[in-house]
Amino acid sequence: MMIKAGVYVHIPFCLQKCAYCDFLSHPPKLGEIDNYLEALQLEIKRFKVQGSTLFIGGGTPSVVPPSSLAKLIRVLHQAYGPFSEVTVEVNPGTVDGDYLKILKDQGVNRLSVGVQSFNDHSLQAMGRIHSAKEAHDTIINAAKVGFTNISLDLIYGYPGMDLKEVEKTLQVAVSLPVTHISYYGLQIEPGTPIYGKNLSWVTDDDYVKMYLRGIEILESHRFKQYEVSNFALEGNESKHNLIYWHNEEYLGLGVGAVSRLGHIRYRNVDTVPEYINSLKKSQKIITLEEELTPELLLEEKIMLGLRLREGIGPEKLFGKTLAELYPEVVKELLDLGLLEKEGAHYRITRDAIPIMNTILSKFF
Amino acid sequence: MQEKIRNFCIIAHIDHGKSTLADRLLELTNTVSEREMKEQLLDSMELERERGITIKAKAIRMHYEAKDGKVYELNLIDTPGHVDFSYEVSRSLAACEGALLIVDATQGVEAQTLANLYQALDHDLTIIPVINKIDLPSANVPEVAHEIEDLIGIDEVYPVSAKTGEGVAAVLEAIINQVPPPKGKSEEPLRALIFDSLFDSYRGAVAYIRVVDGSVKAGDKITMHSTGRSFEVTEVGTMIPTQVPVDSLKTGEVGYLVASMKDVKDTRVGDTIINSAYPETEPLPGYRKVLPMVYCGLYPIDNEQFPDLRAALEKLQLNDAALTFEPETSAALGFGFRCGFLGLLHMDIIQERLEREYNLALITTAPSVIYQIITTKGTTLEIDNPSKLPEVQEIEKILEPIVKATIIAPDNYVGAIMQLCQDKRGIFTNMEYINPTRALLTYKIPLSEILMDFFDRLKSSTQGYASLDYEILGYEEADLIKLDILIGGKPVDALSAIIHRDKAAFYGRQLAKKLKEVIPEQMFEVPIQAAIGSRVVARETVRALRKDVLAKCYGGDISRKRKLIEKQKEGKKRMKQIGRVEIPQEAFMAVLKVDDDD
Repeated sequence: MMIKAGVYVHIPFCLQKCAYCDFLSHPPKLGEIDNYLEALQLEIKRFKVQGSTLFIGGGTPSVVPPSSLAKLIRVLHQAYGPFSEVTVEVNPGTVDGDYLKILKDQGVNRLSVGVQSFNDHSLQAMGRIHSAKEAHDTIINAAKVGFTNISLDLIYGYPGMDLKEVEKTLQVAVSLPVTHISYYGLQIEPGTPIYGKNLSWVTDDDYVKMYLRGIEILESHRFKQYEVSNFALEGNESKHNLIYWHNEEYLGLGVGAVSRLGHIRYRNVDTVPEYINSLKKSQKIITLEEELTPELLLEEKIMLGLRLREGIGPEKLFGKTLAELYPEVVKELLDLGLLEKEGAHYRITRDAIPIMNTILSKFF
Repeated sequence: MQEKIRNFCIIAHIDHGKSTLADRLLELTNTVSEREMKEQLLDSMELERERGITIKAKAIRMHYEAKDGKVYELNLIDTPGHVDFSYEVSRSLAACEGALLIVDATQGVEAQTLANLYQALDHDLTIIPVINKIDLPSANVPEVAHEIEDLIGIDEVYPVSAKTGEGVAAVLEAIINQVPPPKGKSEEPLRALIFDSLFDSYRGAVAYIRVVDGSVKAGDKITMHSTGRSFEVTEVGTMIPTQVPVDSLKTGEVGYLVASMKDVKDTRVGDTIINSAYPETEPLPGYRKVLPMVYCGLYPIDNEQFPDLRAALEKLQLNDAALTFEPETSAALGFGFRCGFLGLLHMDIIQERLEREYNLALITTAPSVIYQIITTKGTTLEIDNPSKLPEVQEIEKILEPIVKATIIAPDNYVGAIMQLCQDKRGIFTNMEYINPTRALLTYKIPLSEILMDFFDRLKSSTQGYASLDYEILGYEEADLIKLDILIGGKPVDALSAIIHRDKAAFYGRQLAKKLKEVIPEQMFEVPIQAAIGSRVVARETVRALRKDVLAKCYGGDISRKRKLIEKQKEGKKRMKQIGRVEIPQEAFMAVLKVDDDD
């Protein structure tokens, strides 16, 4: 029987690097995109899996010319299809109606739009190449060409933001024809341009206020929280991302992509030239292999399972409840009101989500 | 032969050049060639080298052909240079007839030198003043010579540079000409003074001795006067500078003695070795059992290391009769040991050796002195741990150890020193000038106050120019009470302190503040309270942790984020869990860092 896996494809290009971004992406050099896509096709041939979902992310996949992207999607369909969910990340300012139409025609049934904010000041501060209006238009265009499952990404806690601004951005988001919203707190990563800078940083208190207020606004508009940072109208949760959180198997293709097949996790080389050359020479592109021992697997199941609002139950824990596995920790967390219980499922209480790492470390 | 023996020691302040001068003497007498010479031979333990101090005294024999054409036997007995080891110093001095007093030509006389110098004078030692570091541009030989003359009335000084060797030959001649040969009666039964000992894993305890009367050789039956324990001597010898066996050690000689003694408790410093055939032999004066002055709790962070800690302490004790330990339990810290030390330096050294040489991760509780408690029933208790203090209603009075502190500093710091001593409950006893710009102050101060950052504050308030020495005077009554610390509503026994009533509330506030700084935010709010009995005198709150969530966690992030949480978990292993609160190691030492003035 063939392995069933979610398929992720990484496109490491963007027009301009954002100030907070620590993903593998850079503005493409001449000819780099074509060479990369060719290499990707070589990598695709290396695996035989039954794809369940497909997610093309980046970077900005939509910097790839529409015909090339369409071709890639066709190759992926032939190799691993059919998929129940096909998502492409697009950024406002890189796609028009025609582009979106081509994606729709290739069977893309979900769009993830990198909006980040509906405030032009913040967009500029972040180094985004688009305005709030362009973001707005991209979503309207997507709906016009027939997309019915649109997600948008928002960032809160960016330097200079206040609670009012975040509320306004959320109000705009919920008024648009979208079915899914990812609401991310800014993570300041070493090596990014904003790291260590003297900016008007948002305090931890305000950060938490923005988060909890965000949940309130989104849920009052029927965007139900199903993960730490993800909200969806009923039935529109991201199937692909749930594969990660449910600790199921996935195949990652492209530079720096990570796969988990069986009990092994792999990571591909993380520079584009190395990736292209190795594939051309039929050499290994895996730099890192990690065996997921039962102990590590249990840690990961808990770490990922507790991110979900459905919580974690015996079906994920070898038939045992969390309380049976960690009686003392669970009792302490329940007493402190940091964990709550529904039947055999345990989840972190909403107010405790902001200190999830500390809570998780208790189980490690 | 006795006529040609010279036994001497060197008295010097840290860094005034004792070891360097010793090296030059060894070279000049061809005892050690330059090539063989590890720099500063006398300080062999790694820790001693790093700290520039000599912890354990040793002795070296040199043969020197003097200008009179005769060959003399010189025994250099090393002395520890720190106040914690003052009893050892006194025993080393008792084994000598003369002392080289080394004074740094750029620094002048320091408190420690002075204390040892007075001890040497008490032992009637011939003092030969040596002014060292004359090669330095800032050397001021006339002024230092004047200081020495004022102190001991000797105007003949020997200016040297131990570094370059200049003037050292003259010192050797002075030793021959001025230090008297040992007296002692060779025909009397054996009396030998133990001035040091060490543990050798092959031969057991080795005693370093000065034969006062009679002689001793392999095969002799000997008795330790203080314990009455008898042994058969298996070997005697001298250090030149490694151990070289000899047929016998005769009257006036210095050397080592091996007699299959199990550990250094059998070779107590200051004890008299006598010949078992003459049990009535009078002991030499001055022996006393060395008692620890400072106690603290040592706890392994990981309770599973408890047996390892015990084994390590047992090993250290083989070579250190002054170290005591007994198991104790703390509600907060689990199983550990109450350890007794001669002083703070001794404590630091043991702690560091346990961590460095035995790889133990330890929590050290704040040091405590021994308090004498007179109960309402009229009994006397001695306690070395604040948590053992009886209930208030059972206490009639509390006595604490008092020291005489001697401080020498440039006169412009006198005000700052007086302020400090006053803050530390010190009582002024005297002040004199040892030269027109340097003052010598004496105070009576409770030892417990010396333990609480006194050195550090003295140094900082005098820019490092003051030197301190102290000796125990005895016990005095004081208005002391117990201050408890509660964290998360639970009393933490290891943080309790015995403190003067007038200072308790202030101290409690400072400590609570300090603890707030070192206790990290937890998943919940953590109140910190300082209380005297049931009265809370200070309260601080460590607020609950606000945020540490990872907003994103997709396929590519999982490993990295799992490792991040694993690392967070690792960090927690270095903390002690008290109730639900995780407390870092530093918290237990915070007690020491409470400043009186902020």
